[in-house]
Amino acid sequence: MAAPAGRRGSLRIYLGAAPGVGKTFAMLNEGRRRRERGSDVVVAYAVSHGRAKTAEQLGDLEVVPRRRLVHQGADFEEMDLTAVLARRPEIALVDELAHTNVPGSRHEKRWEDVEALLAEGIDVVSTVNIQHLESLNDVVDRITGVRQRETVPDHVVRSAEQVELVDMTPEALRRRMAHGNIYAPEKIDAALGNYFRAGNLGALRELALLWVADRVDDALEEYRERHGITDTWELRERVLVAVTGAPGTEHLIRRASRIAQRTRGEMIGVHVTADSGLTSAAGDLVQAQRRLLEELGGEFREVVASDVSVALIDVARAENATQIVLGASRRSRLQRLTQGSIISRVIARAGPIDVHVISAESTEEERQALPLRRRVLTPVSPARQAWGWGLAVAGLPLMTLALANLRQDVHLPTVLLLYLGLGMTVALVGGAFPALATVVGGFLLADYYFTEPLYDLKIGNTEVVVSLVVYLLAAGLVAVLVDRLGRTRLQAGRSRAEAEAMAALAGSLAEAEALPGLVAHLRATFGMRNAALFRREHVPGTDGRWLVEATAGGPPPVEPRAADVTRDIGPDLVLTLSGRPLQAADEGVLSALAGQLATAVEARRLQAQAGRASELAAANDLRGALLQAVSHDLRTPLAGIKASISSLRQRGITWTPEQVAEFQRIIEEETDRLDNLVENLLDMSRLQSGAVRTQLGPVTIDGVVLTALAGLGPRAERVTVDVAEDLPPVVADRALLERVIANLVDNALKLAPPDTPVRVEAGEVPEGIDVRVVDRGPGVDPHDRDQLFEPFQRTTDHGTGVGLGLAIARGFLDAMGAEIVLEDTPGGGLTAVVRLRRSDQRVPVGRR
Amino acid sequence: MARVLVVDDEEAIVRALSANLKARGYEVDLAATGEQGLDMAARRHPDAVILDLGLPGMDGQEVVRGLRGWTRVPIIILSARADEGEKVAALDAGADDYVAKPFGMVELMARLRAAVRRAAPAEEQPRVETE
Repeated sequence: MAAPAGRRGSLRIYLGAAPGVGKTFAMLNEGRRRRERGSDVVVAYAVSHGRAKTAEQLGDLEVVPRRRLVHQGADFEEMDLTAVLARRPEIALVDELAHTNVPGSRHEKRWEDVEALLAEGIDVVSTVNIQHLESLNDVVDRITGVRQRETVPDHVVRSAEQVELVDMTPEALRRRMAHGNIYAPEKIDAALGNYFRAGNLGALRELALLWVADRVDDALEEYRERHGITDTWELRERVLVAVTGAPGTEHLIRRASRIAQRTRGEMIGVHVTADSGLTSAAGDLVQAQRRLLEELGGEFREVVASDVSVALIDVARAENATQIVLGASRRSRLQRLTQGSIISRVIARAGPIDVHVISAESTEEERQALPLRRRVLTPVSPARQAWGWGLAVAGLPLMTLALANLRQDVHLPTVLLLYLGLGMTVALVGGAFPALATVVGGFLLADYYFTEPLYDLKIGNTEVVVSLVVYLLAAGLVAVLVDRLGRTRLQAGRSRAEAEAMAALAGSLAEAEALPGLVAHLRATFGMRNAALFRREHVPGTDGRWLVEATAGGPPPVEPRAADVTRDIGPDLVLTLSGRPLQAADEGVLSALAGQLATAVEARRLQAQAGRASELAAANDLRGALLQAVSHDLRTPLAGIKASISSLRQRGITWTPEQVAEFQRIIEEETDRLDNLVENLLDMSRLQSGAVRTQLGPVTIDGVVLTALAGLGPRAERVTVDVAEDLPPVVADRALLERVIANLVDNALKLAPPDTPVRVEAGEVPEGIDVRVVDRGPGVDPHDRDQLFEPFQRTTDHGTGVGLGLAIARGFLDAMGAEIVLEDTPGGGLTAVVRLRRSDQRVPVGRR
Repeated sequence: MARVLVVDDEEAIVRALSANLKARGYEVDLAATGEQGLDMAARRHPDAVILDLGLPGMDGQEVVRGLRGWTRVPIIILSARADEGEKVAALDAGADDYVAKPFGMVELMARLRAAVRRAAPAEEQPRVETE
C-alpha cells in the first residue's frame, strides 16, 4: 500500500541518553508492531552494532539494500534514499538521525534525507542520542569531554510528532556494559570506559529528561554552574525575614523561602530582642518559627537592639541581603501614629534593598489573640523626652493662665498640687529632666502669681514658704523616683535580653555547632562587621604567628591587635570583633559569651584527643594483625626455599637435571615472592607512619609498567601490555607508581586462573591518563570491593592471599594525589583503574 | 613400599616433598584440602600422613580428629604458625609430631622414618589364628 501523496509524513523519534539504552531496538520493535497491524514498513537504515537482541528485532523486516560508496579508497554503506523513495513505503525506519553522510550522497546529513522522505508523505521512525542535539553540544562536551561532531538541529527533533525517551538508569546501563551486551570486551578501552562512568551517564540522562520536558533553559543554568561557570552572586537573592514570634510569621517565612528559592538564593531570619522590654509574643513561638526557618534551609540570627527597624537594616547590610520581608503592621492606627510604623522606617532606611511587605493571613484566633503592647515608657528615649519638654513648656503657661483666672476660688495648696500633678505627668512622659524643670518652673510661677505679694518673687508668709519648699522637695523627689523607676525597668529589660541571647548561644554550643557558626552568631549578636577567632602558632625565636581559625562576615583583621574588640578564649586563642567599638553595656555579655566559647573550644579539643586515642588503638590492632600475617606470610616462601635447597644439598640422592631445574625454579620464585612481601611490608610501615615522601615529576607510563613487570619475575611473562609509546607523561612518583603497578599486576595474577590473560593498558581520558589492569578471573562483588583496600582483611592463613597489595596501592596513590577504582571487566573479572594527571594538566580547582 | 599422603595447598612444598619422597622410594598421594585428604586416606590407606595446618576450608585439627576416628596412622603436622597453643591442640587432637616451617628436608625425612618405625611393630605382630 503506497503512502497517500500530498500530505507530509510524520516523524517519530526515539531519544536516548547514551549508546546502548535500546533506541534501535525500540525503533525496530515499533516497526514490527505496526507491520503486524497492517502497515507497510521497511527498514531504510538500521545498525545492530553486533548486539544480539537488536539483530533479533530486525528479523524478517523488509530491508532496503544500502548504497555502496567508495570514498578515499574505503568502502562505505549509506541509506539508499532513491531506492526508498521509489519503494514508497508507508513507514520507513531510519536509524541514527545525526549521521553525516559520506561525500557523494545526495545530502550532507541524514536528517536532510529524512526531510526528503517526510516531504514525500512517508512516515519515518528514527533514533537520536541526546549528545547530538546542537543546542546541547557545549554542555555535553563539558560533561563527557568528548566533542560531538555529528549534530542535528533542535528544530528537526522538536518538529517530530512524537519524541519518546528511551530511558535506562546508569546502573542498568553499566550492567549491560559489564555483560558485554553493548560492546565486545576487546573494544572497551580507556576512553570508552571513561565515557560510561556512572557520573557521566547520570548527567546525560538528566539532560535528556530535562530536554524532553522542555526545561532546558533554566536547568541549563544549573549545568553551566556545576561545570565551572559561577554566577556573580548579586544575581542570587539573599532574603532577610523578620521573625517576630507573632502568629502569622510562619506564612512570612514560607513566602521568603519561595522568594529565595526562585533564584536559588539564601534566606536569613532575624529576631530582634528589644532592649526596651517591648515584647511581642511568647519565646516558644519564636523557637517554633526558628525551627521552621531552619527546616526550609534558612539561617537564624538573634540580635539585641533598641530600635527594631534600625536593627533589621543593620543586619540586612551586614548580611548583604537583597530583600527584606516584613509582615504587614499589626499595630493600631494610634500606635502607628505615636510610635511610628516599623515598616515605613525600614523602607526609609533600606536604600538599595527591596522591601516586601506581605499581608499576613489572619485566622480567627489571631484576631482574638492580637498581642497587647504594654506601653512601657522609657525615660531615655529621645522621642519621649521631647514630648516631656513640650508638655512642660506648653503646660505650665496654660495651667498658670487658667488658674490665674480662677484666683478667687483657687488657693495656693490647690495650685501647688496642680503643678505637682503636671510635674508627675511630665515625669511619666519625658523623664527626670523635663519633670524637674516643670517642678522648678511651677515653684517660680506659684511664687510669682499666686503668693503674696503677687507678681513678685518675694514671699511674705512663713507658712507659705514652708508650703513652697515642701512642694519643691516633694515634687523633685517624685520626678527623680519616677525616672529611676523607668531606668530600673530598662535595666531589667536589658538583662533579660542578654540572658535570652546567651541562652540561645548556649543552645547552639550544646548542639555542637561548628566553630564558624558560633563565630557568625557572635558577629550578628553584636552587629559587627567581622568576628574572627585567631590561634597563635608558636614559632621558635619569635612571639608566634597568628592564624585565622574561623571567621565570619567581612575580611578579618591582619592580626588581633588590629581589631576593635579582643577577648582571650584560651591559652593561644583570641576572639576579635571588628566594626565598631563595644558599648559599655555589651561588655558583660561579651565576657559571658566568650567564656562559653572557651568552654566549647576546650570540649572540642578533648573530643579530638579522644578521637586520636581511638585511632591509636586502631593502629595497634593493625600492628597486631600485621604481626600475625607476617609470621605466616614470611615463613611460607621461606619454607619452600628451605625445602628445595635442603633437598638439593642432601647426600645420597641423585636428582635428575629436570628435578634440579624444578627445585631451582621454586627457589627463585619463592625468593621473588619473599622479596615482594618484604617490600610490601616496608611500604605499609612507611604509609602507616606517614613517612612516605613523594618526589613528583613527569613519568612515562610504558617505562614504569615494564620495570614493574620485570620485578615480578617469571610469573609476569603472561601479562600483555598495551601502552602507546606516545602517551603523554603523567605527574607521579616513579618509584611509588612502579610499586603500585607491580602490586596491581601481582593481585591480578593471583586472582586470575593461570590460563586466562592479564592485560595492562593505558589510555588518555579527559581527566588525565587511565592505567587499567584487567583480569578475567572470577571478579569481586561490588559490596566487597571496598574491603579489598583494607590491609590483612583475611583471617585464615590459607592460600597466597591478597593481604597488602591494594592497601599499599591506594596509600601510595593518595600520597601522589591520584586515585584508584575497581570495576567489573566486561565478560567477567576485575579491572583496577588508576587515574593519573597528565604532567601538562592543571589541577582543576574545586573539583572533588 | 610405604605410602605417604601429603595434604598441603602450597605448591612449592608439595613439589619438593613429592620429589623427595619418591626419590626415597615412597609412594606418594597428594591432597590440597582437608576433605580431599580424608577422602584419599580412606581410599588409599597410607602408612603416614604429612598434614599442613593452614588449609583452606576444613581446619587441620579437624582433619586430625577425622583421621583419628578410624585409624592410628602416624600424622606429622606442618605449620608456618609459631603459636604454641596451636601446637598443643594439634598434638592433643592426635597428631604424632609437629614440624615448623621452614624445615630442613633431611630432618623431616628422618622424622617420617621414625614415625613409620613406631607404627610398624603393631602391624608386624604375629596374627594368632584360632580354629
